[in-house]
Amino acid sequence: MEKRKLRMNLTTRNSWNGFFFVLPFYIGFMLFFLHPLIQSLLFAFHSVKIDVKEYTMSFMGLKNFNYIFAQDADYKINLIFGSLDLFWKVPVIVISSLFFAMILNQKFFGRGFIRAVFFLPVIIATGVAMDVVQGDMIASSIFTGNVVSGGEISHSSALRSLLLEAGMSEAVTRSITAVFDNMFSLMWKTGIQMIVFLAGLQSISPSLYEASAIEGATAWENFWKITLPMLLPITMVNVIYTIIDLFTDSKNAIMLQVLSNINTLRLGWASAMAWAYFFVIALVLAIVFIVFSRLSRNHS
Amino acid sequence: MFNTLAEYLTLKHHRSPQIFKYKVSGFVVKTFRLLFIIGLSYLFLFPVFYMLSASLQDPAMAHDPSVIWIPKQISLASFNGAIKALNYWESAILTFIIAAGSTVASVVSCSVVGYGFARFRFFSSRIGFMLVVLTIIVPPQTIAISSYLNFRFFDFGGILKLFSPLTGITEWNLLNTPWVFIIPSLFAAGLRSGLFILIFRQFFKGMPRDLEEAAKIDGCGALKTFIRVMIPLSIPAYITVLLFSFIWHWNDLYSSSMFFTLEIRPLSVMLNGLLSSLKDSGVIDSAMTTFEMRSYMQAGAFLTILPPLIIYIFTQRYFTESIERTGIVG
Repeated sequence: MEKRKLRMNLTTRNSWNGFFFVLPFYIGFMLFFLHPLIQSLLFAFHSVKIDVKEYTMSFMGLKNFNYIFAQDADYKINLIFGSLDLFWKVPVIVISSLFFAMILNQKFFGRGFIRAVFFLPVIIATGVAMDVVQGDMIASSIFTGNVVSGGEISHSSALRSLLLEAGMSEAVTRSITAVFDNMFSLMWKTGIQMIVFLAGLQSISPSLYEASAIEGATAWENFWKITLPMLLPITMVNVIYTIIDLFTDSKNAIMLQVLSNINTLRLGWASAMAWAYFFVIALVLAIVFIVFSRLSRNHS
Repeated sequence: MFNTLAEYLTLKHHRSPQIFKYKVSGFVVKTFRLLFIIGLSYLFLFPVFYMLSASLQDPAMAHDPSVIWIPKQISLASFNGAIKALNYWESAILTFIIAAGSTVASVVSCSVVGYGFARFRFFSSRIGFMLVVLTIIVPPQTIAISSYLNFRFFDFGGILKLFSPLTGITEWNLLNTPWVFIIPSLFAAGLRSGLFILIFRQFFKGMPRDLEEAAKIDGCGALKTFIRVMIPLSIPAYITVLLFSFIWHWNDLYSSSMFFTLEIRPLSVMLNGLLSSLKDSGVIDSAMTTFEMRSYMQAGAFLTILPPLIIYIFTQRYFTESIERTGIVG
């Protein structure tokens, strides 16, 4: 009886300890996340006026949403094209970061230096400095070898004419050249994903590869039968991170619209835009979750 | 005499064709890998070299078509101009205070919270962790507006109002101060804090429990175990989060451009408006061509990334080696 009581106390004490460790997050969540989250949801249904001392809200119903979808010329287009872009951008980023990570995971001369270089995107690409370089005509012409004519860069002009010669339709050609035009900035988005994949690759037990070597498997088979299935959870993390990264990019057309509405103090519209946008993100993420849970079920 | 080259080489070197084939394919793979690495290194180093090269160029010589990479005459004119237009020193100090302050704050708070989620079962521990994931998924833009108002009329969830009879202050305007980043970071709700909590949690989960139990037997409490045992063992995770957090705060544009509207703003915001501030401060006039403005812009960009780049050069050894052991994977 005595012993049982003591153990109860220990468990209770332990759980209180855990609660105290997490307490800062709960406070921060309430103050800096939940409070603004609920407030911005309210803003989406109100018209907000800011005075010097305080702000006033008046209820508008769905008028803000009605405005952004029916009257704002750009919002709907930005939303649709922003989401469609994901279908090719996410695979390109995730697959190439996996490829880079697999190369960096091998042993070769000067690996430490090369890794330092490959992680540079983490340092630079998240900043405005990258935009300055990308916005520079000479930089992009040196880099891509494209022609600067009349202040405009004709991207992938050779590829474009080649594809059109080969009888591809205009739309297909445009989407293929878009991939190559954006290659530079897309490769620069692989930094974090590469690190996460690298950590994932390191965590695969070498004994699996040893066993498959004894069975006589080739590197190609190893990749499909061991590496990829083992990396599935990490791949999901990376896909989600990439989607969020692309969606919340501050150069994103919708983000710019939200920001400009905030700057002109039309907070109701800005909130409505942000919330409609969040629902699109949530929808995309839900699809990703479903696809990946299907995949992992198939594997197990 | 010989049917194939491979056969000839095989006989010449007295090796079996199998081994020879293996060697050749190994060579091909290595060459391909080397070329690939060189190409990608060029891709990743290009912006740094380009910024440096363009900014060392004398703006007056910008039209010289014979110069691509190495300027004929090294000139610091564009650096001086960019420093003036960016308000470089004041802005850099402000950015450093923001980045360093919130990095320290979020590393401390996120590691504590991460430890709580990793090692303890308690009421609401599951739901709490789902809330962490929620903070990662919700884009900062969704809550940006109300955060703005929250900091404009800051009262700490009503607590400051309670004390207002004593202090005489009912609310604080935290906009344009580093506190807009540091205070949320203290409560693990700052820039990308959710991600840091996740990294720490996964890392602590992967550590063996034996050491903590030994510490407990020696009479350490939970907090003391964490400080004395876990922190010294988790230096790699700390360095990774330290670097991520510093860089993200340094480079942050969205929140910074919203919270800072005065003369001195974080460097990323200053750089974003560099072209107009170059014109306003009279460094360039509107008659200048884009070629001449280019070196000022690149100098500004280079100056902006220079401090984190220097920090990265000194810490990258820890960083590139530690990633393998952070176990972000779980």
